[in-house]
Formats: sequence, C-alpha cells, structure tokens
Amino acid sequence: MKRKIYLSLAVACSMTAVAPSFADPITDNETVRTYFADVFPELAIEDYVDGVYAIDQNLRDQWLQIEEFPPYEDAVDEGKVLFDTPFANGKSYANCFDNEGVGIKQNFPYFDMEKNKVVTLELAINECRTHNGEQPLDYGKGAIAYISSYMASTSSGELINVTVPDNAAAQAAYEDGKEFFYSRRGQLNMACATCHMASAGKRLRADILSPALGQVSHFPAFRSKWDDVGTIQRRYAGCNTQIRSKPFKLQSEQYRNLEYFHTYMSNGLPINGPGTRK
Amino acid sequence: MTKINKLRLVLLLTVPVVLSACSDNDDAAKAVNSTMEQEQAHSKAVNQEAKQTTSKEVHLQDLMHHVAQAKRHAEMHGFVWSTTDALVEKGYTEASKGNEKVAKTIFQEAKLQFELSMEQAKYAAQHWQLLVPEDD
Repeated sequence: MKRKIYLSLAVACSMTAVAPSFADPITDNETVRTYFADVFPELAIEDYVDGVYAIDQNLRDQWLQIEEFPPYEDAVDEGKVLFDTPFANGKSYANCFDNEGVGIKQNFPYFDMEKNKVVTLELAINECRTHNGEQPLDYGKGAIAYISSYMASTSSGELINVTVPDNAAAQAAYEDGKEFFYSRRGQLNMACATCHMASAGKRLRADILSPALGQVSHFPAFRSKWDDVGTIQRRYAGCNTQIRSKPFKLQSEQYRNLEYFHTYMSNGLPINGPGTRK
Repeated sequence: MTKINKLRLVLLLTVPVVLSACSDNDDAAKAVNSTMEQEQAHSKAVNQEAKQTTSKEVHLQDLMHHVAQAKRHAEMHGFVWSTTDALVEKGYTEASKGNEKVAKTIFQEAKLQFELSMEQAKYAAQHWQLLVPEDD
C-alpha cells in the first residue's frame, strides 16, 4: 500500500514538474471574458463585435449613420469579381477552399499540421494563387483585402470558431501569439494589452481604445484613415508603428501567431466584417 | 530494503525534478537571457574598447561596425524600435557628406537605442505574464 502511495507521489511530482506554466486557451478565454465583464458590466458578450461603438453612444450614433451607406461595399463587390475571375489555368479561388470559399472566414486562422504553421485567410488566398501559377498579391491592402472582404461578407453572422489542436506546435504558436500580445515593445514600451486590455474604454487623445475582445470580427475593415479596406495585419503593423516599434512583415510568423491568439480570444462571437472604423 | 530507504529513494528521484520545475521554466526567457548575457559581455568588451578609444578619438568606422552588430542582435530578438533605423540611415548620410562629428553623435544614439531595445526584449521575455489578467 505504502509503495503505491510513494509511486503516486513520485508520478504526481513529476507531472507537476513538466506541466506548462501557462493557462490553456480555454482558460485564457474565460479569464479575458471575466476581465472585460468587470470593466464593462453593461455589455453583453455579443456587443464586443462593435468595438468602441458598443461603449460610447455618441460614436455609435455616428457609426450607425456611416453604416447606412457602408464605405466598404465597393470593396466587397470588387472582391467578388476578383474571387470569381478564373486563373490562367481555368481554376479559381473556389477550387482552393472548403465549401468553395463561401462562409468559411470564421474558421481562420487555423494551424496546418502538414505545413506546421498558422494559416490566415490572406495567406491561404495567396497560396491558392501560387498553387495555380499566379503571382501572389501584396498583403495588407488592395486586391487581397477586397477578396478577403468578400469572403468575410459570406460569413456574416457565423460564429468565430478557431481551434488550437492538441499538438505541441499548434500550442506553441498560440502561446507565441499570446506572448507577443502581452509583451511591451517599441520606444513607448507598450504592449497590445496595454491599450486594448488595461486601457480599453479609456481615451487616448481624441480616441477611445477598443477592447481586444471582438476586434477581429469586423476585419478586413474600412478605416477612414486609410480611405480603403485593410486587413487585420495591416492594423497590427500600424499599431506597432504608433508605439514606435519596427513593424514585422505582414504574414510573418510573428503576426500570424498573434492573429491566431487574437482571433481565438473572440471565439463564439459572430463575424460582422467587413466593418467601418475611424 | 527498509521502509526508510524506499522513502529516501522516492525523494531522491522526485526532488530534483520538482526543484527544476520551481526554477524559471520559461525556455524563451532562458534563451534570451543566455543570448543577452553573451551580448552584454560582448557589449562590455566593445564599450571598453570604445572608451579606450574615446579618450583619444572614436573611429567612425568602428562605431558603424558596432552599430551594425547591435542592429543584428536587436533584429534577432524582434524588438527593434521604429526610430532607430531612421537614425542609422541619417548617420550614414551624414558620414557620406563628411560630417564625421554629427555622424558619430547619431550612431552613438542609434547604438544606445539598439541596446535599450535588447534590454526591453530581455524584460519582456521574463515579465510578459505580468500584463495577463488573473482570475479573481
């Protein structure tokens, strides 16, 4: 009997020793939601897809007026034309994606076990092109953002469903994205979390900082500052520049992993992109 | 084997493993620490060398070399500041115009910024969890 106790003790101690020091993704999400529920007790979970427009009524009224004639509509139309235009080999984007590319945005990004990396929608669009003998598109804005906007529009209302499989590399990618999100960087020594967790809802000069939860739901987004639609990674690069950190290349491993973590955070929230932002 | 010996054996096997878990088990932090320690040692040597030269004259070429090294290290950690590359570029421009004194001042600032960004990388690797909200 005592031998069994000793062995159990030894096994338990060994397991404690090798257990990771970080929380699992599901616990992370619960923690984030609990945190925001304390900060914004008046908001329902689905309200977060509206970003700052769920927090400030004056801004919300202006935003709703803009949404009456959505500035991203041309991008969605242009994206559909591009999406439907066959490649030189006669194939099209529809041949590269599940369900012919319709209503699938909520499943991106995902961890590809064969490629051993996080695949975002924009990366998949370009991989589809190169696989069919076409030149890849520039990331961030222009045609790729239009195609992505169209694909997002076909997922409207679908719930974000990003998974972190029980795989060491996938979990490492998630954890890497999490570390990026919470790491202070740049000359201003700020992390994504500094603005979008700790200071969410507070003013930064004339702007109100949006909560991280729900941010990905409306991308690609038409930003007044850009006067065009852009991808979430274009926004990451912009945020990094604002805190005086040298931005990474769009679709770099760092930004893909960040997008993986950032999107997982919003699991269960509906896709409402493309959206409009300042 | 007596009961006490059995207990000793179990403790002997488990204690080192448990202790290893109690130590800083963040591999990334360790890796950065290790690299940073090497870099700091290197940096000290470079600074020592620079100080010796400064008393007389810092050679612009040496400074440019040190900046290039610091840049490589900082980029490796992914914490380069957006302000620094512009400084380096400006330094090269001034150097090409023959404004050696101005170029040196700019390169010194660039080198300092690279070093600070590496310190930031080290801090982030060890302390990023501080910003993660905790469950009550």
